[in-house]
This record gives sequence, C-alpha cells and structure tokens, in this order.
Amino acid sequence: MKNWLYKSNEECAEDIQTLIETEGTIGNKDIIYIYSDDNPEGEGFLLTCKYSISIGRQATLEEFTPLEIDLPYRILYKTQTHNSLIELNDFEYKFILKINDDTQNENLESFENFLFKLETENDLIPTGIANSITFNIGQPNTGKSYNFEESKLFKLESVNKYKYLKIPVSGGIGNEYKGLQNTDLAITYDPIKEELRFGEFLQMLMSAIVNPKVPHVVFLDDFHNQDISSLLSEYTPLFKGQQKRKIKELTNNDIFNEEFSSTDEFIKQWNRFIKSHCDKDEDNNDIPVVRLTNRVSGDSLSLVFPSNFYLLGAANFNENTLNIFADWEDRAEVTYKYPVETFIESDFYRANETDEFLQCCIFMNKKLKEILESKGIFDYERYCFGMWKIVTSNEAIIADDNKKKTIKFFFGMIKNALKLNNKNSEINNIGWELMQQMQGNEWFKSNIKEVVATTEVIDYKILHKHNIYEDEI
Amino acid sequence: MTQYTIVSDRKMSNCAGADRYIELAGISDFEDLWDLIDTGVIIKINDSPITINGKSRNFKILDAFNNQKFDANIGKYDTATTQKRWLRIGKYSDSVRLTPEQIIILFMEIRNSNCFISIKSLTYYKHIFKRIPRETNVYVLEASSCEHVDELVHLDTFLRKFNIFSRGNTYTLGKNSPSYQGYIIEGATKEFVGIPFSPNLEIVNFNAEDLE
Repeated sequence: MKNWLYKSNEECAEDIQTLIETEGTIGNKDIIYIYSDDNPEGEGFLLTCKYSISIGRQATLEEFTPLEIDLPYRILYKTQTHNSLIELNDFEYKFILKINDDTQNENLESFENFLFKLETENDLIPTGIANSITFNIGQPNTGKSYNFEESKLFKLESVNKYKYLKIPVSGGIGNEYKGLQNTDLAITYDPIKEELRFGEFLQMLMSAIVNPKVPHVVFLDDFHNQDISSLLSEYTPLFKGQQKRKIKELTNNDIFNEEFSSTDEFIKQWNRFIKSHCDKDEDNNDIPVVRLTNRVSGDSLSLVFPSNFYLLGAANFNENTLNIFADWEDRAEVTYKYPVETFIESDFYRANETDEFLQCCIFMNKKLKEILESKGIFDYERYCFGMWKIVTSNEAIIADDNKKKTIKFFFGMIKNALKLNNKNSEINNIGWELMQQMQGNEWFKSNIKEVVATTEVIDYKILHKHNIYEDEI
Repeated sequence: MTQYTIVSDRKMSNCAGADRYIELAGISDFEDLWDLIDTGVIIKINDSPITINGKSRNFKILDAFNNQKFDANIGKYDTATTQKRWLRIGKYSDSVRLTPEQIIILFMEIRNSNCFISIKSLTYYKHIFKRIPRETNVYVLEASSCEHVDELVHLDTFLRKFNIFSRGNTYTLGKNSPSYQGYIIEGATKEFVGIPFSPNLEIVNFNAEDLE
C-alpha cells in the first residue's frame, strides 16, 4: 500500500481517473490524497479529498474532513507545477497527516544499561593506596593529586582492566548549574529528557558491585571547593569501614542486559540482584545493604560497599576542609602533606640537591617551621608552602627571572595561610622574623632583600613589598 | 566564493518557450565565464571538462539541494552595441519544476582551473510580486500567466488579508510580455514584494540586491 499526494486546485480533482491510467505505478489499495494551494484562509495548504484505489484501478472517493497541512520542502517544490503527483514516503506521510509516531515514544522510554562486564586481571589493585577511602590534604603544590593520577595508580598494560574516574569538584556558588551537586553523584531527575539520571559516581559504584574483581577508582580532585560531608551526604551511611565486603563473582548476567523497558524496571532488577547475590560475601558474612533514596520514581536503590571500590580525594586547606572530618575522619585515611618532607623524598630533590635557589626555598620553609614552633604552633603543614611550585613541567628548576616572583608568591601563601587560620595579628611579626632568619641564606641575601639581622623594629615597607604585610590599626 | 540571488521569472521556468535561461546581465562573475573558458583560465566546471560548441559552452551544473548534476550551458549573443550572455538551465528547471516567483541562488568558486557552479531554488514566499516599472506601487504576479502553474480562484481573498487589492487594470512587463492583473500595494517602493504562506506573517518589500 502506497500513499500518494496530488496537487489540484479543482474540487477533488475530477481528472483523477485519467491520472491513474497514465501513472502506471499506482496500484491496488493505494491511497491518493488531494491537496490545494489555493487556500483562501492562508495558513499552509489544504488537504481536501482522499481516494482509495480498488481492484481494477478504480478510484473511490472516501469521506474526509479537509485538513490544513504543512509540507516538507521536497514535496512543496516537486508539486509546484500544475497537477503534480508524488509518492509519499513513510516519514512524509506521517508529517503531513500529523500522525504521532508511537513506536518512537516507546523507544525514548526504554532505558539503556550503563553496566558492562569488564575484563579482569588477578590481584590488580591501585598502587600505593592503603585504604579504600584516602584523602590527601595539604597546601597547593605539595603533590597531593600526583599519586592519585591514573598513570600512578595503574600500569599501562592493565588498561581496560580497571575503571578510573576523576571528578574535578567545582564550587559555583550562586549558580545551581555550575557547581557539582550531591545529586550529581547520586540519582537526579532530568527534566528535559523526563527520565532518571544516574550520576557518574553512582555508575562507578554500581559497576564495582557487579564487577567485583575489577578495581574502580573515583578521584575527587580539589574537593575543598565544596563541603565534602554535604557533597557525599547520601553515601555517608554506606561508606563505613566495617561495612566493606568482598562481593562474590556473578553467577548470572541478567544485570548486564543492554536495555530495560524503563528505568524503574532497571532499578527493580538491580534490587533483586542485590537481594539475591549480595546477601553473603566471599567469606560467608552478611553484607549490610544501604538504600539510596529515590524521591523521583519511588523505588530506592539498594547499595553495598564493595572492597574493589576506591574513593580518593585531594584538597587544599580552606574553610571547607578545616573540620570536615567529623564523619569522614572515621571513614577515610586522611594524610596531611608536609611540604618539605614529601619534597625531600622525591627523585627530583635528589637530582637537584645542590641548587642554591632550591636550598633557599627549603631553608625558608624550615625557618618558618621553627618560628611557628617557637610560638606554639605545631600544625605547620597548614602554613608551609608547597615546593613543587619551583619545578617546571619539564622537571627542571624554574627560570631565573621567575625566582624572585616565586619567593614573593611564597610569602603571599604564608600570609594567606596565617589569615585563614585566624593568625592575622601574627602576620607582621612572623613575616619580619622570617625575613631576619632568611639572612642566613646567601641566595636570599643577594637576590631578595638584605635587612639588618638584629633590628627589632619592623620595617613595614619591606614587608609590604614582599607581600607578607597586614596593617596594624 | 561568490553568490548571487535572483527571483525566478517566466524565462527560467518554461512559461515562455522551450529555452529556459537566466540572463546574466549584471551578474558580473558569470558574465565573465565565457571569456575565462575561451582563454583557458577555466578548464573544468564541477570537475568535468567543458565542451565547446559554436554559440555555447556546455558543462554540468550542480543542484546544491539534491547533489545531482544537470546539463547547462553559457550562451553568447554579441552585436555592435550589446553583449549578451545567458545561462541555460533547462534540465535543472524541469527537475525542480521551477516556477516564476522563486528565489534562485547561484554559487560560484574558482579553484585553480576548476570552477564550481551550483544552483538551488527556494520557495521562501507563497508569491513574489514584481513592480511595474514607471508605476508607483502597482505590482503583478508573473506566475499567474504561466500555464504550468495552477490558477488560483481564491487568490484575491487571500491577498486581501495582507491589504492587497486588485487594481482592475492589466499591465505588461516589457515587450512580448503577457498581460497581468495589477495589484496596489500601499507603502511598497522596492522591486519585489514577498507574500508569506500565512496571513499571520508580514509581507516583505525588497530589491534584488537586498537578497545577497
């Protein structure tokens, strides 16, 4: 059965029978629609009549209510001239007669699975990670993120046998679309596609549960941009050390079906899977199940904490990281990066040990530490500055013209750290004391500033010039 | 790349004799094409060689919409006082069922000695009125006297929605032109007036050069 469109401005095209006789391809059961471009009301074109063709190629006029229509451009120009006939394809037919394509809507509703069975490698674990949840906190340029990069955690030949996801945590206060939200990590509702969306973080966790031999690493970089407790609040009840379990190997692959009829169906299947498969772990212990609330469509999502899931985080000290660890101190292994110690352990230091500028920076950090200790401040990792600032991407020490700028930058960092930790009143004192102590370093003395090492009177002008000054009113 | 936009007329669309062509007067790059072919600056058009035949230079023109090629040629008619060039597009015109009052876009680009020429026709407007020279705001519809275009019984009713009324007189467009029903379009001064498909949209008054 074919559909045809015939343009005729005469009422119901009285010449239709002649047309059928000349146009050989019109056959039994075909339908011919007649349209007119002589529509006095305007608004597009007018579909006026409908003929059905019966055996013997006889046209029968069918009952039809005239319909204002729109035409695809191909049809429009192919029927510009007098009495033109054109065969409609399926799409054009539906477009012209305004028939909604139901099959397409069904397709939209189906849910495409994001879980895949991954290749495994025996005993593969990320290198240098002591705990499933590990956070590195420290000043900028202390190499916090370095050990959490993909290339540092896994060997090149293991590619495809692990999963790694780096999420840069952005702030974006004042714009709900900018910053990372806790819902981005869990379940949200997409108002445009009108469907549930599984956050990347959640997808990784679910993938880890169904691929228990494959390490899954999520790295939250710069998470000081947001309050980690709030960001991961939905997962706080799940990620308790004592809830971590080794999941058994899967016995059937139903959860890897490519498509589910709907998101709800997928969630139901997932919950059935957790119930049947994750009741006991490899050592026959019970596995605690925590449900992730799904406000959108009803069924909550059951989750467990698999031993092959790793959550890594790197953050600077700021108001978000000062006291985050009421709940996460318990869940995560938190490492504070001591700028000098971690730097001295590096290969780079060993190779460049004799460099005067490098020694000057280390001297400065060490002196700062001594000054802080003399004032009763022992958490100096919050005040000392990161040493990697002086190293270029080619693993060399920065160029000479940048060195003075960098020293000024370090003074600025110290000032900021003092401010952040409510030591505003100490900025000038510590700054001056450091300036005097630095006279013990030859590079500093000849390149930066020579002050009289003994004077007790603070020269505020010098402090201001070096970016470690706070007015004392 | 150069691009020319023109409004199709009777001559291009099989309403006035079998020779369907675009007059190239004023379309400078296309006017020069003949000489560029004869001096060997252009050897190929749309990657195919040009065949030379007395009064025409034959090549294939590309339909930019359907990506099909059609036979076309450049014709020449020189007298002591005038030099005329035209682009014959018969095959293309038949294929897209070109009618008057459409917008034709010609593209041309010369790369090395290969010249790319393509054409497309658009139906932006339901009708395009053409102004009668030497009248202030009298316009006619060229398609109304083309035998390949359906006669529109309800045309005047439709045009009234845009405040366009029949003048009651007929006019011609130059020598050998059929006579057309004249319409008054208040406030229109430019060469063409485009009438949209829906009365909810506004009419557009434009000159040929405004289209480019």
